[in-house]
Amino acid sequence: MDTTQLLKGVLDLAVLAVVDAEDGYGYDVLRRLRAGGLTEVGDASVYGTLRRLYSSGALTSYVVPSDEGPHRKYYGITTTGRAQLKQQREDWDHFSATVTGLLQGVAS
Amino acid sequence: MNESLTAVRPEVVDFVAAVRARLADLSEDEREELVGGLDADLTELVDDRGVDALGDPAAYAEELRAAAGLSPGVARLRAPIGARVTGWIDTVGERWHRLVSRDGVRPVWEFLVTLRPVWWVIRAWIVVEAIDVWWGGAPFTIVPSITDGIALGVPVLLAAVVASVLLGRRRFERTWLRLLVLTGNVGAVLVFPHVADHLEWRNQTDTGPAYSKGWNHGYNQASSDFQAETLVVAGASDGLAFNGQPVINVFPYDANGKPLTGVQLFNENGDPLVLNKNMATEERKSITYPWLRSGAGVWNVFPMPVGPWLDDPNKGFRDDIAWFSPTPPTLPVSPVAEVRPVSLPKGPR
Repeated sequence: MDTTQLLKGVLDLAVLAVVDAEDGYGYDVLRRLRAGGLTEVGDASVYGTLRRLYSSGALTSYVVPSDEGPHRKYYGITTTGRAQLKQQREDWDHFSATVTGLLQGVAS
Repeated sequence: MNESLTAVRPEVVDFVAAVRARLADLSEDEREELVGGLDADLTELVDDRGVDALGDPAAYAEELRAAAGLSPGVARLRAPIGARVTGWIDTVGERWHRLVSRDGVRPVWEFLVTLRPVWWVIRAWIVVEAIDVWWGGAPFTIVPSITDGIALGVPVLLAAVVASVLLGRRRFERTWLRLLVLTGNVGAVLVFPHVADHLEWRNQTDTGPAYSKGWNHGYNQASSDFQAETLVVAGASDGLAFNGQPVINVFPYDANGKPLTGVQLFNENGDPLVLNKNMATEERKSITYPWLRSGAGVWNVFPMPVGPWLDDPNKGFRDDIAWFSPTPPTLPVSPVAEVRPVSLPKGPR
């Protein structure tokens, strides 16, 4: 099964969850998503999602200067973002439970 | 300390520049929001997985855009040409309707809208007439001729009117049909002056009793030829004219109605009345030749002989040598053999 389509639907939720756990810059968020098991996620998708969530006010952003390399753009979650995360988490729980139930019904 | 982190890798700089170029349609702020900090992230990515991990900047920009929710912008750019054309037509249509629904304009526009069927008929006529002109089936008359008679012209015109009205009563959704109708309407408007220019309006008004219908036809044909000729012959507007049309030849009759030959004509100042020397007769196969006095051409003597038309741009349209050819110029047959006698109240002279 091509999981990239499934991923598109839940990438917001996943990114919000990761940033909620700890502020992070783009590549850091990507790495944590992959470490968490979303190995097929594309980096541009993650960066784009971060930018979109920032535009919609779910994330805040700040630049951490670096003496050795280019400045890093960190993202942190906002109150709006937390509310969104809570809502989407509930939606996901409900949705996945429904689909799981359906699949079990078919299997038995 | 990881040495490679001290600066952005050149590959990454190039890659970010390429991505930035793919986002050129976005506003400065949007673009900065998308690519800001990208160099740091990508540098780390390359450190982890090598330069090959960068991939194609175009695909990368697409993915970035889509994930950032800017896909509508992409969709607008990438929309099929048909949808875009429909969009343009709709936009122009909306603006037009806004314009004509203004208080001052609305009554005028509503009146014009009621005249739409008239336009449907006119555009059908223009199209058929344009075909007529294009096919070169002279003379061009108000009722299109298509072929020599009007036998084919009338049914073709009627069919075109019916088609045009049917077309006008329908509303089209498909882009290419809308475009076709739009192009047709604009084309009909643009072609109209050309068609009107070719029309032989005289055919409707000139029904002089002395001329037979065949002569009238021939005359019109000759003047159609002349109209084509005026494009290349300088000074074609010189010479005798009647009703604005250049005269090709003059046929004098005496008071008893008998044809005369060798009549010299002058105006009130004693100046010779001459025709346009470049005026051709029917189908440009023949042209008038002057009478001679001591070997020199005299141009005010009528009727003028008609001889071969020489289509030689260097020598002109006629050559005196024609007089000695197997087919020398001859006096043309008078349009009518005899006209009715005329007199003054006290009798001729």
